[in-house]
This record gives sequence, C-alpha cells and structure tokens, in this order.
Amino acid sequence: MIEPLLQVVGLKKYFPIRRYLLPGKVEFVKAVDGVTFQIDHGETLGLVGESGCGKTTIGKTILRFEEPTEGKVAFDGTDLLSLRGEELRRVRWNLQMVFQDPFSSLDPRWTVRAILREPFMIHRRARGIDLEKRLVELMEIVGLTRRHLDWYPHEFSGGQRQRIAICRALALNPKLMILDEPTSALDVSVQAQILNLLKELQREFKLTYLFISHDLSVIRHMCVRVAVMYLGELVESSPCGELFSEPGHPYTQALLSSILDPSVQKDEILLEGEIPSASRPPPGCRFHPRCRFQKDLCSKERPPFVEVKEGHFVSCHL
Amino acid sequence: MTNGRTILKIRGDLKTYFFTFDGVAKAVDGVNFEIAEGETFGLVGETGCGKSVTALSVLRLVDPPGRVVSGEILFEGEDLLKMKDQEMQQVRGNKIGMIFQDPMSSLNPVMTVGFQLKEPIRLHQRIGEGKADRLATEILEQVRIPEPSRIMKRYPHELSGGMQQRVMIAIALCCHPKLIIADEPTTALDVTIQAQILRLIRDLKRDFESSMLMITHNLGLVSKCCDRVGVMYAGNLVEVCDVSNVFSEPLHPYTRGLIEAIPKVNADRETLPVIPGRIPDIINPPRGCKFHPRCGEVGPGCLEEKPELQEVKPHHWVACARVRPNEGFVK
Repeated sequence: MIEPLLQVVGLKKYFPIRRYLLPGKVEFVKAVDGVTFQIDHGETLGLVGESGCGKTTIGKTILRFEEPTEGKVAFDGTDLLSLRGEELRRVRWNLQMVFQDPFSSLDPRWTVRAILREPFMIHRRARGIDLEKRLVELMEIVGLTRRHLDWYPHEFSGGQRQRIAICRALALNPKLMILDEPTSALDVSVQAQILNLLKELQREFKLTYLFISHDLSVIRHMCVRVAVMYLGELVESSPCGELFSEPGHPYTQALLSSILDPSVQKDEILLEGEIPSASRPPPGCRFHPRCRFQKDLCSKERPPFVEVKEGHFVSCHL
Repeated sequence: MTNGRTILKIRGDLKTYFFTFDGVAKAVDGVNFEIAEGETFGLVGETGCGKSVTALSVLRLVDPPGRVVSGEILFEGEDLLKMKDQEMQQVRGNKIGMIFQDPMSSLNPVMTVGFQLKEPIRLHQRIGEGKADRLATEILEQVRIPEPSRIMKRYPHELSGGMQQRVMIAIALCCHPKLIIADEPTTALDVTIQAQILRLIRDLKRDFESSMLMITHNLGLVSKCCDRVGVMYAGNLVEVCDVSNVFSEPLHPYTRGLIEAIPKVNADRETLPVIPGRIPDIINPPRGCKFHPRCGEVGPGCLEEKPELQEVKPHHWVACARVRPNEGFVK
C-alpha cells in the first residue's frame, strides 16, 4: 500500500480567550477539534464549510503558521510537528499555500521579481542567471510575461494577482499546495480561468491540492474527494461524486440544497438559526440545534465518524 | 403578480460619468429598462460593469466626480432627476428602500440598532417616539429576529452577519417602500444564511407588494429569485429577458460565456470554457461593440458600430450585431 502524502490525525487547535477581568479563568475557542484525514499523491481533497468552521485554521496548522494544540501531521512519512528550525525549513518548501485575497497577500511595495525571488533566497535554491531564467519560466507557466516581473502588485487585476500568488507557491516545485479559497475574490469569468490554470498545473507538475472553499460547485469541479466541516469537526467525507448524489449528513444535505445552480431545481432545506460560537459548542452532536432530524441521543453523545460505505464517512447518529 | 403598470422606467439613455483626472470614466453608458409593479428585476454583471452605479443613480446618490449626464428616471411617472433635493428626500428611504451589500460597513457602529431603525420612520412618518418604537419592534419581528426589543438596544457589532443583514432589510422596509433596491444583499453571507435571507426577501416582497431591483454578480441567485434579468457589460445592457430564457437560450455571446463559465454541479468537465481577456477600460472603451475584443464570434460589423438593444423575440432584447430579430444568432 502506498503511503498517503499527507496524514492528519486528531488535529486540534484551541485559541485561548483571555478575560482581563477574570485573570484565572481561560476559555478556549475550539477552532479545530479533532480532525483526521489524509490526502493521497496527486489527489485533490476539497474542504468545505461555512466561515468560522475552522477550514483555514487547518491549512495554517499543517504549514505550522499556527502551532497545533494536539494531533499529528505526517507529510510523506515525516512528522511535521516534531521538526524545529533548520529541519523544518528543509521540509517546508514542499508545502505551499495560496491565499484567498490576492490584494492583501502580495506586498504592495515589492515588485513581482522581488516577491518571486524570496522563496529562492530563503531556501538557497538558485541565484543570478539561473534564477532569472527560472523566474521568466514561472511567469510563462502561469500565463504572464517577462515584462510583468518589474511591475508592482497594484498594476495587476485581481485575476493576474492570483496568478502571481500561484506562481510564488509554485516557485520551488512543491508537492502539496494548500489553496485557501483561491477564487472567491474573483469574478466568474476570471474564476474559470484560474480554475483551469490550477488543473493544468496539477497535471503538469503532479501536484497534490488541499482545496479549501465554501463554494460547492467549485469543489465539485476541482476535487476527487470532499470533506465537509462544521464547527471545527468533520461531519462527512466521501468521494466527490457520491457526496453530491448521496449526501449522508443532514448538514451536507442542507449545504447542497443551498447551491444556487441555475441548472438544478430542487427542494430547499432551510436551516434554522446560525452557527453557534466555537467557544461554547453545543454538547453532543454540534449540529443538533439546527438539525431537522434531531433525537434525544443527539444532544447527549458525540456521534462517531463511521464508514457507511467504502471511503464514505459520516458523523451522525442516524 | 404584476399588473402591467410600470413602477420604474429608465429611458433616454441613462449615462453616469465620473470625471476623473485620468479622463471620463463612463461607468453607466446608455442604459434603458423598466420594472413593472410587483416584479423583481435582476441586474447582473461582473465587477466594474456599472450595476451598482445604476442603482445609485436611481437614488441620486452618485458622489462627485460622478454625475448623471443624460437620461430620465421615471418613478411612478415622475422624473427623479428633476426633483428638488427636498422632494428626493421624501422618496429615498420612504418610497424606495435600499439594502446595501456589506451590512458591517453600512450600519453605523456607534448607534444602536433601534436608533438606526427608527431614523427613517421618524423622518418620514412624523409619529411619536412610543409609536416609532412599536413599529420598529414589529418590523424586526417581520424579518424574523428573535427578541426584537432586546436587539433594539444592541450595537451592530454585537450581531452576527446574518442578523446585521436582517436589520438592514428591516431599515429598508420600515416605510413600506414601493421599490426595493438590493445591492448584492447576500454576498457577504454564508450559503446557509444566504438561503435564509433570500427566502426572507422573497416573502417580504410578496407581503409588502413591492417591486425589486436586485443587483448581483451571481447568476444562480438570479435564477432563484428574479422574474426578469438584465445583463450588463462595461456600462451597457447587452441582454434583457425573462429569467427562464436567459438560461435556456441566452443570445448575447457575453451572456453565453458567463453562463458557461460557472462550474456546474451535475456536469463533469475537465476544463471550464472561459471568456478570454478581461473587462475593458471604461475610460477608453473599445470602439464599436465593447465586447468585441473578447468575443469569439466577431463579425465585420462589430468593430464599427455600437449595437443597440433591440427586441429580437417577444420580451427578449439583445444588443449584438450578430443577433437579428426572428432569426436568432446569425453565423
């Protein structure tokens, strides 16, 4: 059996909330609360959920931008969480991230050349002529030209900036790319261009993607497998097609019914209420206050994450 | 639903230009459409196509250097552009209500929800504090906010995004407007909350017997809640038709490209069809049809003359030189 590229086991990330009036008492926002998943080589795993459910935090903890509270992250057999300093740096070029908002993720005072040169400097990969050649090559890969290297980010449109951000992530030939809502700040026609580019790059460079998004139709287009998050937990994980044809969890069903796809007409499932606070999540199943099918058991016991079909996991008492 | 009477009619080529240092930005460059009573008209287009400016022009809220340079905006038969400022104030927030895109930045952070909600009521209805309070509580109930009297004393930052948007809707509706202008009312919200808000807007529009101008970039949203739709591109309407037609037989190449570019849930496609290039500069737009540099079906006529919106089929208007009346798209 081939080992998965990325394996995340029981990942937890709690953020403390300090209350200055009650110094002794510390509460926690449980942004990510025990998440387990894996990504195979060359696969795209989609991570869906609404804002505040912890999907970005997962991305950041995998890259160690945030130190996880608990859990295990293994990348290609190496335990990422035990690495320190120089060791970490040597592994980290394999994992890159593209952020949501191309307007704030590029330094406005740097030229594109400086932005793209940074990863090479940090990881001491290339210099001089080689570096310059590589930069031009990179720009062409993402559909920009040599000329653009001397421009500043504000001279580009949103779609072009996202291309630069992708370019920067691609610079060191990483194995895994974490794409955090890469198209949600873009218009549909530009979104289509970027999605096509990402698919092309994946084919060409054998990339593995963790694709974070709240847009289910984009996920459907891009991913092989999907994991649905709610309030810091995974509620369902399955092959992409199956999730859309036979959603198991009531939350997934509601999410699917809220897709505004003009080609699909179906009954709406309206959820009552809003996402509860992650600092005081409801007991038992976290979704139960908004669930249509709730039973007594739901408010008492946390449902296990069980395999209902091959490769299809659901966390629900039903 | 509609009784055939027109509530809002924009005619005579509405043009709103911004006189900037770089030149004249033609944000809205000749737009005509009308909204019947009880109808929901959707205005779709990508960023910068002039849909929000059109809405602001209707309310006369375009700030300098922007100015409406031509056109008539007839609301209940009266030209809003010719009204005195004082008369306009009687229309704004009273007969026409507006729901803005981002509730976080359009509510005043230092005023309580109750104060902001009562402001238009007091301004337009001349009633006592007690009665205004009662009205405000009632309207909060109608937008399904739990415990309205408690929420009235809260500040906007204490509410969630969905709740803030409900407050915005309450403010827009509190004077029972004839026309509601909703500018991207759900863009800042999560999908499950978006579904709640859309249902709410639809129900309230029916209860209040209002008409609505819905501005959005999301074609999916249009399909769920509009009767007719106008597609805008670089300051012009390129296609106006019933909402079912826009998806079943879009005629303008831009509309077709836009619909094709949306990832579909029930279709497996390796690559998405794209519209090449990007939206044109509105200070120096391309000559002739503004879409021609990106269009896959450019013909000889496209570069010279700007196509006018013409009725090619009953209730289906298209501005494209290649689309002829009764013939559809001509190769």
